This record gives sequence, C-alpha cells and structure tokens, in this order.
Amino acid sequence: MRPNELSKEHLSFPSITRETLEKLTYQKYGDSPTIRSYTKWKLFEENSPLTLPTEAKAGEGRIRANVLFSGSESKFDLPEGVEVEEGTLGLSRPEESRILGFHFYALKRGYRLRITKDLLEPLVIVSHLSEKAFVSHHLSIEAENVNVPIIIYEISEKGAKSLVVELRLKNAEAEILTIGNHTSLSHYLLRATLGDGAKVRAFTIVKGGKMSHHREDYSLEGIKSELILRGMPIGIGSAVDYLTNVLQYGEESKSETKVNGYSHRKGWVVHRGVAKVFEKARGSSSEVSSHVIIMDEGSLGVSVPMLEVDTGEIETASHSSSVAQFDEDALFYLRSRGLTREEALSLFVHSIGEALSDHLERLKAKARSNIIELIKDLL
Amino acid sequence: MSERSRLEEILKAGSLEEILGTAVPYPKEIELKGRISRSIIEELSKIKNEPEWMFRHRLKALELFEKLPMPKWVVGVEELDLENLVLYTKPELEKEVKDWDDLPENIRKTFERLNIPEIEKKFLSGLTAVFDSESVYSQLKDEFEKKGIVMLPMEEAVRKYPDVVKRYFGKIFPAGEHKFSALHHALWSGGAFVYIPKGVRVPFPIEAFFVIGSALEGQFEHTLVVADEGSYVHFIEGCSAPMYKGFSFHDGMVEIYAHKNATVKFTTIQNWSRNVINFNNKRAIIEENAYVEWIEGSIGSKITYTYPASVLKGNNARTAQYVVSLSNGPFLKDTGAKSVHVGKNTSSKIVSKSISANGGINIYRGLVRIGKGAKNSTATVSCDSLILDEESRAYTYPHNQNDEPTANIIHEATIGKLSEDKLFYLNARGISEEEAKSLIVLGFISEILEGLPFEYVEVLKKVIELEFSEVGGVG
Repeated sequence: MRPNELSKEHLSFPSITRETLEKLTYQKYGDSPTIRSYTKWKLFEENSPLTLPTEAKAGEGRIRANVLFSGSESKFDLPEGVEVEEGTLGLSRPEESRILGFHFYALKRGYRLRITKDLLEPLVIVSHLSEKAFVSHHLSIEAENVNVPIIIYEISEKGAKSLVVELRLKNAEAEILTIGNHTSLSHYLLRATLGDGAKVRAFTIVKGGKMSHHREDYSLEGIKSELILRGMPIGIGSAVDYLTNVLQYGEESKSETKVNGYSHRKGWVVHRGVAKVFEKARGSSSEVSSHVIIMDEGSLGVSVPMLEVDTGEIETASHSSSVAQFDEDALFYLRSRGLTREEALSLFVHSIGEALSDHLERLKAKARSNIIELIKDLL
Repeated sequence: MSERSRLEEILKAGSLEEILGTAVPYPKEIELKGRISRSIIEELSKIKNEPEWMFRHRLKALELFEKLPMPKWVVGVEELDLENLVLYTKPELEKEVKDWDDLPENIRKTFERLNIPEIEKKFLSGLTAVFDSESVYSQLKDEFEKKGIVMLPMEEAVRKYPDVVKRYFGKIFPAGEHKFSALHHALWSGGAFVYIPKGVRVPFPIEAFFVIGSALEGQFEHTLVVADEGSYVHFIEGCSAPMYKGFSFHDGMVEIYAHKNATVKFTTIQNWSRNVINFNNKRAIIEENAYVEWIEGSIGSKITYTYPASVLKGNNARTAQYVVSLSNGPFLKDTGAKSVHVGKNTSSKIVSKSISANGGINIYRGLVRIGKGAKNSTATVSCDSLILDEESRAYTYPHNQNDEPTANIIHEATIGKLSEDKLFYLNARGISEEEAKSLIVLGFISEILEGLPFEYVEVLKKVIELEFSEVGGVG
C-alpha cells in the first residue's frame, strides 16, 4: 500500500466528546501500590481543557525550527524531502486515558510529515507555550528507507501543554534528541513503531516543571529492529515523572534503556521503565537500567524498572536500578587528588551526561551543549 | 508401613498431592456458609465464645469489607464465588485433644501422611495443626512451657490473654488495608498465637501446619508471633491440601512483632493442591536492633498472592526476605516482598528466585520505601527468574522509592532461559533431562535452602524433583 492511501483513513484526528472524557481515568490500575503512577494528576485536573482556554497566542521563539508549534500557531519551514499534510498516524487514541482524552479534546489540528530523503541537517521541532491555557500539539512522522536526525524542543512556561509525537519507521535509522525544559505543567507522549530493520538512537533530557509527565513508548515490531534509549530526567525544585515503555515483538530485536536521573532542592524524580518481550520475539535481548541520584535532603527519587518476558527463547533480559546519593568514595578519591567537592560533583554529572549521549552520532554535540545548559542549576 | 521414618515414604512418592490422596468427606460439627453478613459473624463469634471486643472487631472489618473496592490488578479472584464458599467449618472432635491419638482417624491420617507427628517429635519445640477452620492440635513441649513461652490456638489466646492479644491483633496488619485483609479480619478462625518472653531463645523451631480438607472452603487462619526483647524464635508454617474438585480459598494472615534485640525467623513452605487460590497477608514490625527473616517458598496452589512485608521501625533494625516460587504448569505466582524503612541505619535485603515451567507464570512484585529520616539505611533487592521453556513467563515489577539522601536502594534482576550448554553438559554425563532440570533448579535456589532445617530441605528437594519428573517420567 502506498503511504498516500494510508493517510486518507486518518485524515482528521480522533475526537472525543466531553461526556466520554468525564468517564475516563488516568490509570487503569491506579489502585496497585506497585504500578501506581507518580504524576500529580490533580494539577492536570485543575488545569484541564475543561477549566482553561484551549487557545493561546504564540510566544517569542528563539530557536530556528522546521516545525514550530507555539501556543495555537503552527509554522512549517521544511527541507527538501519532507512533506506535510493534516492527519495523524492513529497510534494514540483519546480513550486510552484521561490525559490523552484532554489532549484530543483540546487539539485543534494534527499534522503529519513524510520523510522520503536522507536529511543532511537535523529536523528541528519546537513545541512551546507561554500563556495560561491548555494547548495540545500533535505531530506524526513517517520515514522509510532514510536516515533522519530529529531534535524535539519542548518548552512549557505557563499553563499546561500537551505534545504527542507519533513515529513510524521502516528500514530507517533515526536519531532522536528530545530536550524538555519546563516551568509549568507538561504532558509528552512519544509513540514509535519500529518496523523491519529500523534503528533508533534516542536521548532525552527533561528538566521538569511544576509537574512534567514525560512518556516514551517504543514498539519494536520488525525483525532485527533496534533501540538504544538514554534518558536524563532532572528535578530541581520541580517534578518529573519519566516513563519509558519498550515493547518487543520482532524476532532478534534489541533494546537497551539507560536512565540517570537527578533530584535536587525538594525535587521529585521518578523513572518507570518497562521492557516487555512478547512470545514472538525469539532471540531478543532487553536491558533496562535505571538510576536516580538524590542530591540533598527533601528530594525524592523513585525507580521502577519493570521486566516482562513472555518467551523462554530469550537472549538476555535484565534490569538494574538504584536510588542513592553520590558515591562518596568516588568523591573522596577525586578530592584527595586536589579537586574541590563542587569540581568533583561537576565532573561527575558532566561525565554521566557525556556517557549517556555517546551513542549519538550526528546529534552528539547538540546533545552535549544542551546537557551543559540544563544541568547548570544542579551544581 | 512400620514405625520407620515416613520421611522415606514421602521421598518415594510420586507427588505430595498423591500422598494426601483425594479429599475424604469427614464429620463436621458446624458448617457456616452463605452471604457474608452480620448474622454469619454473630454466629461465628457465638460458636467461638468470643469476648465482646473481638466480635466488634469482626463487625468493623465486615463494614470495611463491604466498603472497600475489589482490587483491579488481582486476577483470578473473579473465579471465586465468595458466597458459595464454606466460611467456617468445625471438624467434629469427640474429646479434648492431648495427643495425636485423640484426633478422628481421617484427620490424624492426613497429618501422618505428611509426616507431621514424627517431625514434631524429632525437632520441633511446639506444633499447631489446623484442619479447615479450626486448630485441631496444639502442643508445646513441657520444658518450653516452663520458660514462659506461650503457644496456643488463636481463639484460646483471645480468651486467656486478652490484653496481650488486643495490643497486637490487627495493629500490625489492620483490616482496612484492602478488601481481603478486611475479609480476613471479619472471618478469621484458627491459627496460632506465640509469645516468647524476654531473653528466651527457643532452640528448635515451632511449627504450624495448615490443611484445607474439603473443596469450596475458605480458610482464614490468623497467626500472631510476639517476640519480646532479646528473644529468638524460628517459626515454620506448612500448608497442604488433598485433591478435590472446585476451588478453595485461603486468605490467611501473619503478624509479627519483634521487640528490641529480638530475632524472628519465619519460614513458609506452601504446597497447596492445584485447586487452592492463595491470598496471604504477612507483615512484621521490627524494633530497634531486632531482626526478622522471612523465607517464603511457594510451590503449590492455582494462584498465589503473597508479599511478606517488614516495617523497620527502630534504629538499626534489619530484615531479610527470601522468596522462592515455582510455577510448573498453568499456574500463577504473584509473589514478592515489601520493606519500609523508618528507623535510622536500617537495612533490608530481598532475594527472589522464581522458576517458570510448562506455561507457568511468575510475577515478582516488590516494594522498597525509605522514608525521610531513615538515615544511612540500605536496601538491596535481587531477583532472578529462570524460564524453562517457551510457554512460560516471568515478570518483575519492583518499586523503589527513596526519600532520604543518605540512604541507598540497589536493585538487580535477570531473567534467563535454561542454558542449553548446562543441560548438554549434564546430559553428556548420563543424567536425563528431567533430572538435570531439577538439579539446575535446586542449584538455582541453593542460596535460600541453606538456612532451613535438614529435613525440610530434603522434603523440598523431593517436591522439586517430583515437579519435574511429572513432566517426563521419574528420572
């Protein structure tokens, strides 16, 4: 089937009535102490599209973007080989949860990009809100037989912003750098399906706002599809609930998730990493490692790495997690070699940032400059 | 069979269920069934001749049971028809039971088949045997009674030591936690009360053995262990049931209070038959410098939910939780452990080993919470899962929450298949596949077997061997 024919099915985005929305819950299993979500949903309830306006003026954008969502405005400045039309890929539905219900309820337009050529420059996507409103942005990306670097900037300064990115890759390689820098409420969902031979290297750094719910779902459906995911959620007097879900269906698929979070000045950092290997995914391997560092008193760190394996024919499946302070022995070592505590700490955080972004090729430098910018307040 | 050890017979049998055979109907003095209501509770309380405060406790729990929602994440419970279950059964006992011989033959035989009387004689300090809803046998060796150790059926303790029981009963694991804890508190019957006085060390384990003798039966036994300052006790809990049609439901509770410097070891070897849905509520409160160790072996049952929990209340309190679960066949084990750190310098260790075979599902669900002020506390969690074939599954859901910057939580988990080269190695040395599988499994859990009394390890080993020989003929 040609992509053109596919798109007609989902030309408009799925909608939801207020009545249906009222019935939705945030989480199906909200009553289980082990799988309960840590997002402070109450804040979203108070700042929902039912209480706030769903339109906002555009703010001042300082970043040059190919796709710019600011307030209710959308602007496109696309390179050769990228086409845009209205619609979605249909990978997310409003009935899934109350927060997605809000997203679609407030959504005015959804856009869909098709990438048909290798991109030399990274595709820059910006989603921004600077007014007290609940605004939704929705972007779908399709890529086949190409190599694409994508940078997503997410900035929520006031009100509540919701961004959903849908991604479908086939025989394509993608590098995805996501930079979230929030002060108010934000909801983010990336939902990606990786077909045969698709490879994704992703790095996410999110500095939470009042409450940031940041979720990334990757579905490895194709044979030999691969995902390397690195994340750095940071809470400095703010809260971030970072969720990574990796579902493996494809034979010999591979996934590797590594998250290092920092919780500082009454910060709130939660990482929930799910890796599920389905019965079909024979000979696959899956790894999750989740570490949250609590930097001072009053800060909270939670790490929930979940592993579900449905096949005995597994190559490797493991996870590790820790919630701890900085390694005092290592700090002492550096200090005994003449570094001050601050210098030693800075060295640590920077080198963890560097290690986490090391798998990127074309976006490495961009990732590192953003790490330096966002971890400034940690030190 | 002569007077010789029955251990040998158990070790030779095809399966533990086989030893117990099919359930035989037995004379019952009283049987309560029907909708769980005030009148049932009234009747139950009257039969037990309980004091008013306990009756009120049950009514309060019933109210909570009606109010609390059914947990959504629990699967398999929908198969249970609570209204169709016999909520209380009292086996007919002709006289006061002082000895095994005083028990009706069928009940005595059930326990004899499991070798319980012999184990009691050889290496236990005391034993309580519970058949359906009632404790039918409870004996403590004289020498220990003299030291002030108390071991009684729970009902008797309620009447004899109301002040002590009131102080702890339902305080460690309150009725309002969830629907099934409320149900338990409303209907509890049977179980053991153990009190170890200050500074007393009980050299041999105390055991409680539970048997569900008939189908469509609900067992709600309550065990309370109070270890006073500086005392030591090892409590072993065994569970078994013969084969029958229809389901039975087990919703038991264990409460442990370890006072300053006390040590409590609590071992459960659960081997219900495949018709039992097993829901367990276990929690310990651990005071300063005290230590509680849980060993939870889940082998039988259709579905098991059990998460022994330790609340480290005092400074320097410690706990270790060892969880072994085996799901062989289309059964589900949802097990794990919980530890909550409140005191300073507390430490907890969770080791979970699960084995899934022939379509079995194992779920590890754990919770570690370090609260503010639990300075310098450490928690380590490691869970390993072994999947023996393609149809089986293993899930891990750990939850680590830390509110204290000077504390650490470290967690590690691996899920692996049975490695072909290990099997091949053993095969090449003339060991059949079934034998090799049970050897590998035993090696996998050896770390946990180490702390158990020898006789138990032997039985446990046999159970595991049987589990695998069932699949492909005895090796």
